[in-house]
Amino acid sequence: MSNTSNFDFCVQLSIDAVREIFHLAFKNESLAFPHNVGPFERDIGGLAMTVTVTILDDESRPADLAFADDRHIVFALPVDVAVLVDDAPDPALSRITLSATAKVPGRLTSWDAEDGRPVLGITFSGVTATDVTVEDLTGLPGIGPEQFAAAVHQRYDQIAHSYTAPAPGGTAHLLVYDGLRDPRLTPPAPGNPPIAVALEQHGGVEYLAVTVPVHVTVPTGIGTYVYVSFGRLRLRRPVTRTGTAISVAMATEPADPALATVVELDNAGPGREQVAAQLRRPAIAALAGFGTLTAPAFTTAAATALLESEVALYARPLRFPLWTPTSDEPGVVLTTPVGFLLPTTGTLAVLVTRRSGTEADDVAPDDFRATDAVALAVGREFVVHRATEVVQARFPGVNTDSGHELHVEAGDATLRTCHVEPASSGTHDQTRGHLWVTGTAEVHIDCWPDPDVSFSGPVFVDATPEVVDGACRLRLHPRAGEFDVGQSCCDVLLDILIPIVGWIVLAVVESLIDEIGGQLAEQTAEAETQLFEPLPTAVVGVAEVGCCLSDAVISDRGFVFPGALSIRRSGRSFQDLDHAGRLPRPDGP
Amino acid sequence: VVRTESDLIRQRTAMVRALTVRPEVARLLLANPVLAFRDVGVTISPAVATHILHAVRHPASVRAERQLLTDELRAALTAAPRPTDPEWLATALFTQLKVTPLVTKGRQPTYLAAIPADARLRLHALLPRRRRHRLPTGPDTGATATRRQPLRRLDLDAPVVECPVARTAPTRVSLEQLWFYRGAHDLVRPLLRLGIIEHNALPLLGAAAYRKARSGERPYDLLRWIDHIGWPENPRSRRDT
Repeated sequence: MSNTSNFDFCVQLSIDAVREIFHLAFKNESLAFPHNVGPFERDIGGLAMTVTVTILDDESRPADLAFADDRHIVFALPVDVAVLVDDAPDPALSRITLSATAKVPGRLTSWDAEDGRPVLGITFSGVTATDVTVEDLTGLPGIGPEQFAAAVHQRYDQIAHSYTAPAPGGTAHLLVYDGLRDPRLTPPAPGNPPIAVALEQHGGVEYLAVTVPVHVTVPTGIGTYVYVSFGRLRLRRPVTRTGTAISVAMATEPADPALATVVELDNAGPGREQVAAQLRRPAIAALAGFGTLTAPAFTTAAATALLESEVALYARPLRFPLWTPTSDEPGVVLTTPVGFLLPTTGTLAVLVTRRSGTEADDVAPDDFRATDAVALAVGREFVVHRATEVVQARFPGVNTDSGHELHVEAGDATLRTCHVEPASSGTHDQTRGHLWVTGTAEVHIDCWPDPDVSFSGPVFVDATPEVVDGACRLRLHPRAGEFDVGQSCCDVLLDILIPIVGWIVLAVVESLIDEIGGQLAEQTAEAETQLFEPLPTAVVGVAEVGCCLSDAVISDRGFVFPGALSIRRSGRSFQDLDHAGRLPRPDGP
Repeated sequence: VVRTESDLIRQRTAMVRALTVRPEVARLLLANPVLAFRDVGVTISPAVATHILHAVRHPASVRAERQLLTDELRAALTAAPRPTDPEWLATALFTQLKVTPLVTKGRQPTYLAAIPADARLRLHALLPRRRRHRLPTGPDTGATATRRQPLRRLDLDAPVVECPVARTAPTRVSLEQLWFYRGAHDLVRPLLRLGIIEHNALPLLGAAAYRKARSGERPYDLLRWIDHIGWPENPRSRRDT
């Protein structure tokens, strides 16, 4: 159980703050997330397609994130994948847009920025399609008779409409109609019927049933008798569906005689049967001119696979910073932070300055943020270490055999030991956290055996938030407990303890600032009171993070400074300029 | 029974032993050693009690200085000096010594640093070095301290501060206010020094307060911090040597 694990300091941010930084990062296309990528040429299901990927984050389709485990954030990215088939037979099918929400895991890790500064952020390197999940998929085209009819109509415009074939008495003529698409055909078909399309099932196989209006003129070889008639070709062609496309080969005559192409003629005059039989083969050849009708037609599984693949490709090179510890000392590079996510409480924990072990020993700290947007912690070991250093600097010889000689007007003593450690509320009969001071001293009295006096007591640190010129500061002031203010009995003790605790707090705060950023705004005399502004850090190029600390909580785990967070976008985005009506104009200044 | 200081020296080992077996009484030595001894069955004569009470309040050097200052002031003022009594001090200052009253309200005396300069250097060295710290570069004067500064650190050698003359003399003068009159009369400094010594004496409780502290009815603040008072197996006194 530790606030800082095997580190000295920890900053914990709420998932809401992480979301805010993420949204700001998302708006910065050049830095983190390009919103549009492509077009890419893809071979999908044997078809050449052009794919463009668009990632969205707006009011209607916001991006989001959730903490998955201690090192992974799952990003929910609204995504549109536009698929373009240049030679799609139906204009309506030439471009489809698949929309979905893709969930892609990002890994919390650290790296060095180009300027050498350490960065804690999210990387998507190594993400594969299997890591991506797709939800709320829409945009799948429904391929039905209408789409095939449209494809047939489009293809009709590209083929011949008048065919000839040898006949017993000369040359037979076959005209193929599709409504008024070819007004040059004579005679015009009564009622101008278009080519009709339907989907049928025969023996468990899907067929496209096509009815093509025709006109025939066939010399019969019986005198000058020429058979003339309107009529229609009735054909069925098997439909082939794959995961990504649907196709009909118009040249493929079904093997089943019951489904064979039929020539129907309206003129019941002599020779109708013979003419119909005679024209069947040329009619089939004419129909082959329609070629193979193909359209992108994704199944849900195929569309999902496509999206997963495209999102993985999109995300893999991306990373965005969440935390950039920055020193205001030129040339100083701060310690690389180590991040952990605490999914249960929605907390990002940033650990700074490893105190023990190696990277392999790093473990997630406990959550100390509770309901605050941000909280900073200084670990117990660090506090005790600094306290011991301060005590020894103030009282050289203390905690050694020699001890430290104290001379005050009330008497003389040898301070043998003195220790200060953080303690929780509820311990030492105290109702709030405190620094527990213990020690032993040998008191020197004339003509009397020197007594050994052991002492202990609490020193509280009062914290007062202040706002000065818009900047948040926290004033820290130590106060010895269990004393009535002004009692002369305790002046000497107070005068020894308070400055020491003041220096301990100063050492802790200075070190905290040194590692996470911030500044000591003011220090009163004797180091007894500190006023500091923590965490004016920047997420490189994305945001500036400010912090208003509200309290200082001491427990046996160390110090915790809870507070509120303000996040401000760095620079301006297209949206900012758009809202302000200041987008650059080609004709304007 | 301890009747003389020789008795005290002779019997002190036995007295220490009696206190050692009664640690709850040993703690009360800080409240009043004479009454604590009585609680462990040691009766002390008034003369020896006075000796003990003076001895525990100040070390010998301070006791000597206190006596010297008292004698000097008694002679000059023809009365026992009572510098920690604000009314007495006002009378002595303005009536006897004819000092001109000053406006001191809102002004802060100068205090010596709580931490010696060498210790402060060591403490500063502990702070992180790689940042440009915003620590004050001037001397620690205590002027901005938020805690009431203790009298023991009043800087008697600091330059005299010019204050406007007050229209009327106050009826009470604290030692902090007296600090502003150091240039007004030669007796102010000894008065101030004596007042500081008396103020800083280990405060001892009277019989009634002692009983309340012992019973826990009204705890003595200083004792809250004291866990234990004891002696080693072979107790010795550094001051004997």
